[in-house]
Amino acid sequence: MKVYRLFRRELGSYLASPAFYGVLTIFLLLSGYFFFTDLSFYNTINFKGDYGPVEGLWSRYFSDLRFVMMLTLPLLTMRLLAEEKKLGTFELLTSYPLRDSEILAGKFLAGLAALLLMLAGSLAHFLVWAAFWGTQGLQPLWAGYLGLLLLGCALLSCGLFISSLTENQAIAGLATLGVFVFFWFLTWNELMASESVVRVLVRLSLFDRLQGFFKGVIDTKDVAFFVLFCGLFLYLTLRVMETRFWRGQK
Amino acid sequence: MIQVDSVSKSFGSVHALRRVSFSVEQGEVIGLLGPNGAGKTTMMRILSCFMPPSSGSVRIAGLDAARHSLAIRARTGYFLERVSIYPDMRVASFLEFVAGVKGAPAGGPKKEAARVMELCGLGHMAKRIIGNLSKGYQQRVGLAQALVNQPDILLLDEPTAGIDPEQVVEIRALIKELAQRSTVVFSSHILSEVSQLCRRVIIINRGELLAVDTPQALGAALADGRGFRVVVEAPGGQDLAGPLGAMPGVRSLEDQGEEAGGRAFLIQAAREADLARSLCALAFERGWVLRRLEPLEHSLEDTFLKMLAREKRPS
Repeated sequence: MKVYRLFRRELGSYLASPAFYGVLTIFLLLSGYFFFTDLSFYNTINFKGDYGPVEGLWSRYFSDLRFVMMLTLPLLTMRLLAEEKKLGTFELLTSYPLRDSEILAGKFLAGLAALLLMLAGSLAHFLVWAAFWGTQGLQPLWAGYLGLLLLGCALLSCGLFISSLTENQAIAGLATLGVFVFFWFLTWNELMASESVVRVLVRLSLFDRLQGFFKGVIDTKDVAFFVLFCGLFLYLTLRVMETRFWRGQK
Repeated sequence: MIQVDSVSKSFGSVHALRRVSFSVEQGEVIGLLGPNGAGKTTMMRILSCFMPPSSGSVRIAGLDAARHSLAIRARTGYFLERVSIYPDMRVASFLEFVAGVKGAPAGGPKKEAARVMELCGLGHMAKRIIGNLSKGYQQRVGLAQALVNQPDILLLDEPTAGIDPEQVVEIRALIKELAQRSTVVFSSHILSEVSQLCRRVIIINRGELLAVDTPQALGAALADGRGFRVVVEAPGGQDLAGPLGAMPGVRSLEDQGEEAGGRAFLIQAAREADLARSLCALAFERGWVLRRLEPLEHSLEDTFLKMLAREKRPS
């Protein structure tokens, strides 16, 4: 119940903020742009009808959505704990009978709800598709969305962790973007590392793990990876919150 | 109600508190005094369970703060002047949120929020956004959130700082009323306010406890003598200063001029001198009229400054 109240407060704060609507608009504009260009490309290469929509369109579109999420999620997470520290409301919050884990859960779930709102907006493109070409072949989309959701959870937890390290939102946002870009580029350096190292990097990469989901295949190993990644960063965030016990700061 | 035993708190090489011990009785209003950087905020943070002490123990309502932090926080109201409240929330929504996370009593968060708004004179501000309120009203919202669920212990850090005099009077009256049922630890820079509201004061400086007592007892203990103000009327323009200054035990005499048909003097005397008796005998002998004789009280400000000055003196 306490987590629910924290979640509601945090989500209310998102919904009351013009910045959130800005992020939502950017997300929807970019996702709409990518859907249009991917659809145009699909129509161009598929004039003989060789490609199904899953491999020809959805997979490509979801890959582009990953990129949009990477750009926009830092704007969602940067305020979560940094703002509380800046305002001093974190001290007020900890004076209530709340566990740190409850505070963290409320914030994480609010971030997730905001992400769901953004992803729900992107569903409009599929409604357009369904209106013209019917619902056949849309089933793999659920796997694709599950993949994006898991990626979103991982990115949110990482962003939340970085937001807990500073009270400056701009720094939190930029640092989060930097870390996300690092994860994006992680597998791009094949020439710089040996084959075995690249294999490890591929296993660690957040973004490359989604290809299976985008083709409609849910691999439990990939699900476990995202859950563990998310759990690790939430745990690290909790540990940062506990540093107030010995740091003597907000 | 509050038992602080040999509490120390260090942040790396900085010792914010060193072996501080005191206790606060149930229903007592106690003032926490000290200059900037004395350790008041650290003490408040430890009492509010924001952070544990490095060593020593804190027991609140019989519970160990290190082990039962959640139970203690459920019974504590905490107000911090320097902390802003969520500026994007409306007054009623914020207080309902606080009532919800504090586990509102029967009637639910809405009813509890309405109760504290009424108590703090915020009823007409319920729908206003906190960030748009004046400093005074934001202070009231801060106080209102501390009062949610009728806490047994109130920790108030500078509750009247930065607000207009009329609201100061109202908030002081409210604190007095709250003291009827809660134990209050009250920190303020306004010493007259502390002496007005608190029965006892805790004075800390550079992390060390200097004293815990009533302002009167502290003043008396620090004074190296006793002061009196007298107004004497002498017939025929007799010399007053000479005989007054010659009384046994008198250390200094200050002529304050004509007043109420006589002449006023400030007399500092040794602690053991019985000035009242000597003065009455002198007046009787010389045919003076003793218009006024009043002992001088030490203000909390005097006491506080003397205590800090004594600390600074090389031993």
